[in-house]
Amino acid sequence: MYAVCLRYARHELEAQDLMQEGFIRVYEKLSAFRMEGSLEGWVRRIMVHTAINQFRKKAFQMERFGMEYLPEEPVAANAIDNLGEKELMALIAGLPDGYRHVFNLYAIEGFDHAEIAEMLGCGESTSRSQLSKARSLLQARIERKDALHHAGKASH
Amino acid sequence: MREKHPIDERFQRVLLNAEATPPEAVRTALAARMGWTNNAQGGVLWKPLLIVAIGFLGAGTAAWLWSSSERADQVANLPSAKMEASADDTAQPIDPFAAATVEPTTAPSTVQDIDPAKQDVAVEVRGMTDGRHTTDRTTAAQRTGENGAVQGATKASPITKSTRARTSRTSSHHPSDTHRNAVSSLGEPAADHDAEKDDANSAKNDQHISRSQATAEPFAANNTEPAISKGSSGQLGNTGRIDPLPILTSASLASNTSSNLGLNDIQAVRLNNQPILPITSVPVGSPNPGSTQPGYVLPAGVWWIGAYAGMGAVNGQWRGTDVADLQRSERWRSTTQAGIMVGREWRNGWGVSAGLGLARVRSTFEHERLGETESVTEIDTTWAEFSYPGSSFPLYTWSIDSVAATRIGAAQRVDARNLYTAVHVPVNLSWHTTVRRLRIGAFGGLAAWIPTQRKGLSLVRSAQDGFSTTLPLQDAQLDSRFSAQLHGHLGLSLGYSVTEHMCLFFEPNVATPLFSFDGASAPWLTRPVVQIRLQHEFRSKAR
Repeated sequence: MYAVCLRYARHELEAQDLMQEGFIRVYEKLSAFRMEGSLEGWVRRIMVHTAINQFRKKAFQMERFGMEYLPEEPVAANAIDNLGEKELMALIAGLPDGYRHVFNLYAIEGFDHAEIAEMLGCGESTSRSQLSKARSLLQARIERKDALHHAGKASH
Repeated sequence: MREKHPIDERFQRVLLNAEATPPEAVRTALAARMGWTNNAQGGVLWKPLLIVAIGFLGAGTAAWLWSSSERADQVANLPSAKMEASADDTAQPIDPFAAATVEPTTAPSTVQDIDPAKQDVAVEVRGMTDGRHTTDRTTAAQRTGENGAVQGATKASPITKSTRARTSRTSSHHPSDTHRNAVSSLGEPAADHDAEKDDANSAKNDQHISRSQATAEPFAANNTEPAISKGSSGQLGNTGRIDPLPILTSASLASNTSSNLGLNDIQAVRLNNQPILPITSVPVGSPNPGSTQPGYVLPAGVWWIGAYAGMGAVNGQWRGTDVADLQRSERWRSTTQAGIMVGREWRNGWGVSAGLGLARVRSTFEHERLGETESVTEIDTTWAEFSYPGSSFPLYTWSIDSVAATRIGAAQRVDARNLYTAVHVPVNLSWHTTVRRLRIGAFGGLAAWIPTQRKGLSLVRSAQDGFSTTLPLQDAQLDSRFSAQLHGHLGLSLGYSVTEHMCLFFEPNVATPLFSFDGASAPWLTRPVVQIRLQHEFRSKAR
């Protein structure tokens, strides 16, 4: 669960706070768990909602864009495959708050834009544009890393 | 339709089930928040605090009860009380109201039967204890029989006046059974006694005489002062039966025309073996048996117990070495405090009190810090130009050098809301004056400030690079900053007596640290606080 918190938090201290708050909510609501589904999934959902609530509490001003879709260039398949868990986590942590949450919720947790819009208190179009922007940023950074990676190999 | 994207798939595949181990501090903080352990770092030691609070309350209550019981014991040990305890079985049940009417009378009284013909009546007023018949009725006549004639009982002692006054007060306030009996014992009303009552009284009087003889022995041996005489002879002649009625009142005496006995004729003498009781003695059965003072005497002071709660601003700064970054990063916000107090306030307005409470101080922490330093690989391409052998065509070659460089991370702002909790043990000296229901005064004192819990972030100087880095406040490295302090406080106290026992105070005051028990850096928090205190006073009940 700490990894989930790390993905949603801006830095480790915030992730630790999220972890603590999330587990307190888990223990408070444990009696409400009906033993019908996966406990891990239930805990994970609470963690995600804790992170989102924390994000909304801070009244972060969502960045809005006029375009829902930004032009996206295909990224080389092997470029992203070269990145490990730590690098991917670092890439997500480097995203601005709005992008990070939308990307986490859409790409990793599997929520759709309508759900994300409701959770974050924004419009669906905002969710789409932020997802698109997040992908563009990630793509640019992945390619840069990939270029550095190959350059390093070539030099040796 | 859900769009597919290679980035999404890759991230989901790798990160969906990724796990990471949180630092131990998270587990510790979580355990402390959930109350799984009492010894978590920086956690409030609620159990000891609760024990101390209960101890305070218990000690206060015990002291109050002890003082009450001690006063009750003193009353019980008084001769009058002892006499009450040995009263005969026919004694009437305690009538608090009747008892209150005779409260000022201090010595047992006995009225000897009056012979109107001879006008040679000795009346001994020894007082009484309450509305019941006194049991010790040694008469002057009896003592005369034992000691011979009593000489020169013509000059009234100071006791006489007070006895008169008290007796008069008794009569005017409460025309009770006692009063009726007194009237009937002095002449005409005595005819109302039927034979049965006389018989009963005679039986009681027999007992009284036998007891009084025993108690009168010392007097018989040492009696150098006449008891009470009536008439010119100065001798006590009639040693007839003892009237069972103990009280002489001005009204009864005035109405007793047959005996010609007036109040002025009664003289009380001090009996050698019967000390004159102080006016502060109260008979058993009074409305407030625990008090040694009658109702009209105000107590020297009152105990009180109260609860207080307050809030205010904080003007804080860090003191010590290397606190510049701390000073910049922390903005002190507000404080709240609440607790209980016990104290005593004297009639002159001065009072002392002590208490136990909790105080909380809030602040916001903001610190700009650099991101983690990372090692990056930088590419350096070097171009070289040379001519193709045997021609003038330039050829370019390049070499790529990769250089591992350290890149300082981007600036990152860290913020937190800090919360400091401390046990607050104030000891106050106060003074109040009363204007109708208002109580106006001031108070001041010292308070122990014992930090117990803290939450949030703070800064420490890194030993490696010398930069300030954030650290959770719960960390043990920061313990030395939060040692116990001695605070002083001073304020005004404006109260309103809601009821006789309850007073609500509005107390603006300022508290500031005076001394820290650790020389290291410490927060120096001056707190202007507006405090409300509800005080319950253990006054004697209304009479």
